[in-house]
Amino acid sequence: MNRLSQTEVMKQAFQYESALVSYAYSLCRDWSAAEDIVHEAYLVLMEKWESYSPEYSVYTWVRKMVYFKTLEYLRTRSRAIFSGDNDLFESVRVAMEMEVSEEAVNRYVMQMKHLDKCVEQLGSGAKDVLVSYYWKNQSCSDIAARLKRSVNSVWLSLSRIRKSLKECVERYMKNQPGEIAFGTISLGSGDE
Amino acid sequence: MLYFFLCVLGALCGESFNFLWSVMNEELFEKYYFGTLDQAESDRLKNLLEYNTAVRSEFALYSMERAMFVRSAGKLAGLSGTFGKQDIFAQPVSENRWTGNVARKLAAIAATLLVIGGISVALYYQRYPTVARLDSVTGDVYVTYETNTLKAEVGQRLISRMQIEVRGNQSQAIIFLKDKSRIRFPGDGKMAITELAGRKELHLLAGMFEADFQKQPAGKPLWIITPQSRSEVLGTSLQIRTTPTATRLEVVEGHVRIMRGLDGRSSDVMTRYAVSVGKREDNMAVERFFWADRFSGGEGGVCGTMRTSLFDEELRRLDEQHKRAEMRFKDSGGR
Repeated sequence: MNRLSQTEVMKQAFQYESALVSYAYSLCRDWSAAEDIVHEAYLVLMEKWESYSPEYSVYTWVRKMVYFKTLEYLRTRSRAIFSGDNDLFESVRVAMEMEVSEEAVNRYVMQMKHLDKCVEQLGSGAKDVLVSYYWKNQSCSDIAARLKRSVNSVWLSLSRIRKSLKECVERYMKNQPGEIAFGTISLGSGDE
Repeated sequence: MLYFFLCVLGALCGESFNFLWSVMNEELFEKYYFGTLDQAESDRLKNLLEYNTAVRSEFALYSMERAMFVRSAGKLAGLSGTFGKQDIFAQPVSENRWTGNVARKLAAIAATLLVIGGISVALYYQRYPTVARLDSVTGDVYVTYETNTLKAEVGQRLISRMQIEVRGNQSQAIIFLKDKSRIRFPGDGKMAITELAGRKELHLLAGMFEADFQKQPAGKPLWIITPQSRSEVLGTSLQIRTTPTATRLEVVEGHVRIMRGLDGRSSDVMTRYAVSVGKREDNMAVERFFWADRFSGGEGGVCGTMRTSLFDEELRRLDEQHKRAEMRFKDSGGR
């Protein structure tokens, strides 16, 4: 079996960067930390690329490094994994590794590229809710209080945003670029 | 018909059940990502992931999608990157909490320091109020406060009980009191200015000075104190000189009441009159002195060797008179 060169190994590894960050994020639940973990895994990869064996996929091999780096991160910060529940941590890891195949990862990478274009088409209100919920980790109650809406209204808006973005991405994936089905998504004036 | 109806009802229930189940799972997944699972929910999720392949698949898909949204949200906020930590400086200025918070704290610290500094300065000036200022310094002029002596500088602030010493005939100091009264203090001489509870005193310890005093507030005269006398100044131009044995006061313009320290005898000295005060009882005659042209000009209106020699001559006369009196006293056996 022909061994890959360092350049080829690194190139393939970098292709899965977004998927690996998502994998790390599912384990540590901190996006910034997930990016750092993957970064450190890549640094290790650059030193130990020769230990790669072609019988495994590059994604699987790098994911292993990301897993160990995640454990290291959680331990060095004295954080009990899942508040003492190591079993749940392992269950999550198994779920992510078993259910996310390499094909799904490749598709995921493509989806990520299209999602950016779809997000740009959102209205300012929808963007605000998206950033508040997913980036700033604000709960629906906090967002509702800030926007003077009901919690249900915010939750339904989030569902609509997610659904519309997924549909937009699917259209892109099918080479049918177009606007989001509902046009610009704005928050309702009251409960929905 | 009934069968058809039951099938439809079953399908609807199934769909509803699946929908509700999906919503419940989604809530569980969200709690996982927010870190708000309690022990029971954590156990439930763990069991679902281990034994329910559908939920496991749903969780994986949910997680990947959630990661996509987080990444996009981060990009929208301008804070997510391929590598590295969150760049807080990418935030809009209005939302840059780091800069805002630090700026506010620095401003608060600076304001506090300013207030403390202002209070300290105010307290210092209250404790050490300015009584006069050195307007001009020529030659060797020194200021002494308690035991510390420094060379005086132009503009030097003079506080109460600070001594001014002028060394050498060529040296001179021009002093302005707070009320703009002007004092010319030539060498060699030593004086001190005090102000306590509104009472201003000029202590002439040695030498002489000429002064143009502003009109003093009613009931608050300025006092000139020499080893032999005490003079009350109400607004006067005068010259005063003291030696270890005598003090001579010449009033150019105004009114001065001089009191001899020996017995408390006082005399009023008006414009163009002078008085010499010695250690003996007979040295307090008020006499007229003449203000000739040679006495005018220059700073303070009185200068020149002629004026000085006449002044000194008068003092020498007093000193000789004092010595003769002492000799007679000894010859007579001290009686």
